[in-house]
Amino acid sequence: MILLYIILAIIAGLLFHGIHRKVIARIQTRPGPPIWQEFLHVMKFSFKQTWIPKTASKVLFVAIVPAVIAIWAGALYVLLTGGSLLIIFGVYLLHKITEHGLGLSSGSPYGKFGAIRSVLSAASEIPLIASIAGIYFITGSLMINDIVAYQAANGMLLITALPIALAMYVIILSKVPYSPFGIIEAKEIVSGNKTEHFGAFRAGLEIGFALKTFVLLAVFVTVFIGAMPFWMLLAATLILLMTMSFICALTPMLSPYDAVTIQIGVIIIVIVYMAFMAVFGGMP
Amino acid sequence: MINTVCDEMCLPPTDMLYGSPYEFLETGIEGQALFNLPFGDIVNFLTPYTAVLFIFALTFTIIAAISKPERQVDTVFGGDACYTKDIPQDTLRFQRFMAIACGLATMGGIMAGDVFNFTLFTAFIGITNIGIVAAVKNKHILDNAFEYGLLAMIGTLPLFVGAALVLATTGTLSMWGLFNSSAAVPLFAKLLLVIGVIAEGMAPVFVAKAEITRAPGAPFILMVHVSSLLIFLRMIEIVISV
Amino acid sequence: MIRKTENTEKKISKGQASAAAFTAALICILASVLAFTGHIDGWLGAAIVIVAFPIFVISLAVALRESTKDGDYPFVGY
Repeated sequence: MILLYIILAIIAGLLFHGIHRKVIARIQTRPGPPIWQEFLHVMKFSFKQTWIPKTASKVLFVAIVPAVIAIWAGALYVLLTGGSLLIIFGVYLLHKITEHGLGLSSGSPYGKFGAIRSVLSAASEIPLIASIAGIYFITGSLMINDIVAYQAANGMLLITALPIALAMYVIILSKVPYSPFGIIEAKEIVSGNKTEHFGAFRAGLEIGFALKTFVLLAVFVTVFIGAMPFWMLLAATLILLMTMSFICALTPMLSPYDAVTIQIGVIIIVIVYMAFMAVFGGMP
Repeated sequence: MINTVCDEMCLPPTDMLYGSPYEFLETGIEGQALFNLPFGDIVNFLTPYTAVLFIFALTFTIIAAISKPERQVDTVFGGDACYTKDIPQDTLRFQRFMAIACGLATMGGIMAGDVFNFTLFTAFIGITNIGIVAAVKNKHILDNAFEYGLLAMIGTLPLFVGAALVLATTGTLSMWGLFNSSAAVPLFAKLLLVIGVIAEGMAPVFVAKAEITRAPGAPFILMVHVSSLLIFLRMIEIVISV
Repeated sequence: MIRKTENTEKKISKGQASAAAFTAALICILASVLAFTGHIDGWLGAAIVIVAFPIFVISLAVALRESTKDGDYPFVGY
């Protein structure tokens, strides 16, 4: 019943994006859009004129959009079946590739700069997400089922492996809309790598990104807090998202240099933590 | 049973590793192996993890093979005019050939069941990445290709030394054997492998530098990123597993 | 040189896109049902859905896109 879950996850993800915008707006004492605004966005883009820019590399321009949806649908399946966390890590990196392809495919300078920033941010985001390897040294497994079982026995990893959770949190924070780390779609380069994808393709992208937000939040909750019933998972992901909404509302967009510097700072915290654990025990 | 036969090396005997029918690999890292393809004593295999990577590499190789490059729009400073860049036919053909070769090398690296094959394919990816970038006749882009070429060449040293150390310390290069046994690969060998792969996979950073000077050929340049990131992913899997 | 923005290339017709969307949706539902009843493996069903579902989304959006002809503004009411 993967199909049902994909559709549910897309609905939840779009709703989460809407709630995210609403929370940001209320913090900034604006009324903000209704929480179903992102559904309206997707519908609007579906009913718009659509064509492929004449300068674009046509196959790449079109193929990159289903690729975004497909990789996150695959990640959702891995999460549901309790598969390997390494695959989700892989999907995150594949997402970096699609981000880059998205920007390159159109021939637009704005898209290209978004794509270049995506590569630069990869320099700090890849080590950040690679810190999930630390989970392997703590739990002895990277299968999500095993990690959940470990937490049931030994308490949640959010407390016992806080720096790794922090690294993962920063990763998810970099990927939510309006993020201080969202340098690839900063407004000084219009919409960055999404600039030239409009109409039907943007509708597909919004759906893919909604899926991505939901999957990343659900992975964080499952890996660092533990397995829970579906309604509790929804509630926990929503609370997690709202903490990010506060950060997004209260911080400006960082410059590419600062974004990478701060992420490298988090990586250093993780490395110090891992070295501490390796020297003073705590790792089985 | 395995340990009594071969206590010293802590490795399963070769007839257990390579005997027929092959036992499927089972680790707590990436799930059970789905498929294996033996070439003599080298057993290539796919797990759910590498299968995902393989399909992705295949998709983007096909895209690079069939799609035309984009035409970049450049603005003329001090005016409203803009122009588009077209790639000459021979450059296009060379870039496409290198991109497809790069895709094949990536798929080989992902399927490799042997640490030496993996390092060999990684070096191959480095060479094809230089080819993709260096096809564009522009001073800045060629400078970047040259710098990357130096780094990739230097990177082959730790890469192959890492593989050699794995062989020297465990007596095997087969991932089949390394993943299943408790034979410890020294941290130093892993570190050398990581440094080697990072040096070979630094291409996207240099390409990004070249792209600021607007190197055209999106589907082919994307293969640089696909190959580098996928080989990183494979490297992380190997380093955790062995 | 300034390029003209008008598009003279052959487009995918709305009919073709609808047909693609319908086929992809059918494949998705069929794979889900077959996987649910146990006729095919769960992972195979999921793989088929993962490939077919994005095609469904894109082709549906392309099928619903506004026509470039005059006088067709869907869901706007005029």
